[in-house]
Amino acid sequence: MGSVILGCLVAFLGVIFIPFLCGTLFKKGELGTGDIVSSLVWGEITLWGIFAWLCVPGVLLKISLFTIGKIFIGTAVVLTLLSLVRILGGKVSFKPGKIGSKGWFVAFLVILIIQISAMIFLRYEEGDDAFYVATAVISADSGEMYMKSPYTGLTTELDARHGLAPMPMWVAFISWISSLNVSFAAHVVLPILLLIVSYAAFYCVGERFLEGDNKKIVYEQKNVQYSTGEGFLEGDNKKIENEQKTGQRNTGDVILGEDNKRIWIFMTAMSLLILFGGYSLYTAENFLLVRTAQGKAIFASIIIPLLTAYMYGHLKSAEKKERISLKSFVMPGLLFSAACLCTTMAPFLLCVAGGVFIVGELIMYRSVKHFVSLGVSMFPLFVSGVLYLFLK
Amino acid sequence: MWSRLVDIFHNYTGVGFAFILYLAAVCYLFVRERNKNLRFITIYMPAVILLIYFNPVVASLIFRVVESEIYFRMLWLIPVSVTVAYTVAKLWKELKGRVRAVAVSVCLVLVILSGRLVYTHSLYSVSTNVYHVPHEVCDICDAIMVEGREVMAAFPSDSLLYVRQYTARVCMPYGRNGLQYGSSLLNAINSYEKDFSVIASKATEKGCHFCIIKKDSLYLNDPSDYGFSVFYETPEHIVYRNEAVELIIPGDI
Repeated sequence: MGSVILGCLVAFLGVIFIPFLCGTLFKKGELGTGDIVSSLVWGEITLWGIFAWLCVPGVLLKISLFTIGKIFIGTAVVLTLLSLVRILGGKVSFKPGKIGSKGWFVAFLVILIIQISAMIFLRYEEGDDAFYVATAVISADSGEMYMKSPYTGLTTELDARHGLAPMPMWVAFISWISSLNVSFAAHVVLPILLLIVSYAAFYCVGERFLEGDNKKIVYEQKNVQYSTGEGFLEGDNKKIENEQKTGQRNTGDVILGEDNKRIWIFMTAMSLLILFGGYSLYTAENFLLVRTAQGKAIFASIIIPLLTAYMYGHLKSAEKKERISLKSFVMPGLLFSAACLCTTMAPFLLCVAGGVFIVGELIMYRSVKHFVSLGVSMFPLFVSGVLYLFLK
Repeated sequence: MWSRLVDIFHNYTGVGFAFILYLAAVCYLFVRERNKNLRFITIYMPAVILLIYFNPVVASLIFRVVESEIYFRMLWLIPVSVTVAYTVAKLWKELKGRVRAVAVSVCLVLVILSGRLVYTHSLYSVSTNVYHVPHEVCDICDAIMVEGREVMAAFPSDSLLYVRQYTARVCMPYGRNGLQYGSSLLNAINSYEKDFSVIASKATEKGCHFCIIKKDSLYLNDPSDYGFSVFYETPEHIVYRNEAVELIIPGDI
C-alpha cells in the first residue's frame, strides 16, 4: 500500500508538479490563477514535445525506453532547476486570485469529483486498450519499444507506424518511474491526472475567450488603457495591482470579479458537456472520459483546446501587430510536437486546422510575419507526416 | 463517397440534439458576438473545416493516407463544447437579473437533455480491482506466471482484451482479433463442446504451456488423455497445463 501511495505521488510529480514548474519558464512577474493554470498546461506540452523528440528517434533506432527515459529525466531536471532558480530569484511569484463565484466553482468541483470517482470505480471494456496499454506494459517491462506484438507478446518487425506517435511510451515511462503497475497507471492514475490537465486546458480557452469581452467593457467604462502582457489573466493582475495601490475596488474590478464568475460558469458547462458527451462514441468528450490515457483522447481534449486558445492569442497578437519573439516559434512548435506524440493523424489534422487558420489570419490582418512564424513552427508536423508516409 | 461522409458525420453527432444545440450557439454568436477574432475561431473557421470535411476530393486523399474509420477525427477540429460553454458564459454576461439565471439554467438543462451520460454505456461495469482488469484474468495470470521467463497461454475470447494489459509475461498465440482472423485454436477453446484432441494438437503446435477453459463447457473427451492436467481453478475457469510443451524454469536449470 505504501509503495502504491508513493508511486501515485511520483506520478503526480511527473504529470502535474514538474510540468507546472517547467511551465513557469514561459512566464515572468506575479502570476495570477490563469497564469498558474496555463503554466501547468504549457509545461506539460513542453515536456511532451521534448519526449516526442527523444522517443520517436529512439523507436526508429531501436533504443531502449529506459535510456530514453534517463535522458528525458535529465532534461526535465535541468528545466525544473532553471524554473526553481527563477522562482527563488523572485522573477516569478504566485498570487492566485479569488475564486469569484463559489456556487459555480462548487458545481464544477462536484462534476469533476463524479468523473474522478467513475475513473476509479468503473471499468470500461475498451478494445483499443488491448493495443495501447499492452504496448506500454511491454516497454515498461523490458524497455523494448514497438518490437513485440502487444496482442501476443511475440517478436515482430519494428512497428514504426505506431512508433511515430509513442504516447504509450510516455505511459510506460510514468509507470516505470513511479513503479506502478502499468494497467493501474493507465486506467486509474493517469486518467485522473490527465483529466485535471484537460480541464486546465479548457480553463485557458475559457479565460482567453472571456477576457476579450471584459477588457473592452473595462476600457469603455473607465477609459483605462490595458496592454497585452505575458499572462492569460492580465485582468486579474491589474485588479490585484489596483487593490494594492488604492486599497479599494472600482467599476472595472466588479466586472473582472464577474469574469471570475463567468469562467466557472464556462467550466461548469464544459464539465457537463463532457459528462453528457456519451451521445456518440466518437466525440472528444467521450474519448476524454473513456480513453483518457490514450494519445488520441489527449489530442482531442488537451492539444486541440490549447491550440484553439493559442490561435485566439495569435489573432490578437496579429491584430495589434505585435513583434514576433522566439516564444512565437517555440510554443506552437512544442504544441505541434506534443500533438505528434499523441496520434499519427495529428500532422494531417493540424495541417488542415493550421492551414485554415493562417490563411484566415493573413486575410484578416495581412501580417506576413505572423503567417511565417506559425508556418515555420509547423515543421514538426511536416517531419512527422513525411515519416508516416514513408514508413506506412 | 458522399454518403460515407454523411454516415461518419451521423455517427459522430449521434441523435443530433447536441449538434443542434451547438448550431444554436453558433447562430447566437453570429448575431451577438462583436469580437472578430472570436467570430473567426467559433464561427468561420469551423464552417470552413466542415466544408473541407464534406469535400469528397479532400476525403478521398485522406482516405488514401489514413484509414477511413478514423476520418471522424477531422470533426474534433470543430470546437463544439467550447462554443456551447462560451455561449452559456456569454449569456450570463449579456442578460441581467433573474432572467439570466433562468436562461443559463435552461441552457445547462438542455446540455443534459441533448446529451447522454457517458457512464450509462453498456460497456461500463463496476471494477473489481485497481487494474480495471477482470479479477479472474488477474488470478489466472498470477497463477501461471513464472519468474524469469514468459509463458504461452491460450485464453477464451472474453479474456483476450485484458491478459496482456495485466502482464507482459503471459504471451498468447492469438490476439484481440483472433476470432476475426479465424484462429482454429481459439475456435476450439471458445466452442461449448470441447474437443481436447483438437485443442491439444493446436495448443502444442502453438507452443502453449497452458490452456484456459470455461467451466460451463461440455467435454467431448478426457483432457488427461491428451496430456492436459488441471493446474489451477477459478470460479469460472479451469487452467490446464499442457505437458507436451516443456516449461523450463530459469532457476531450476
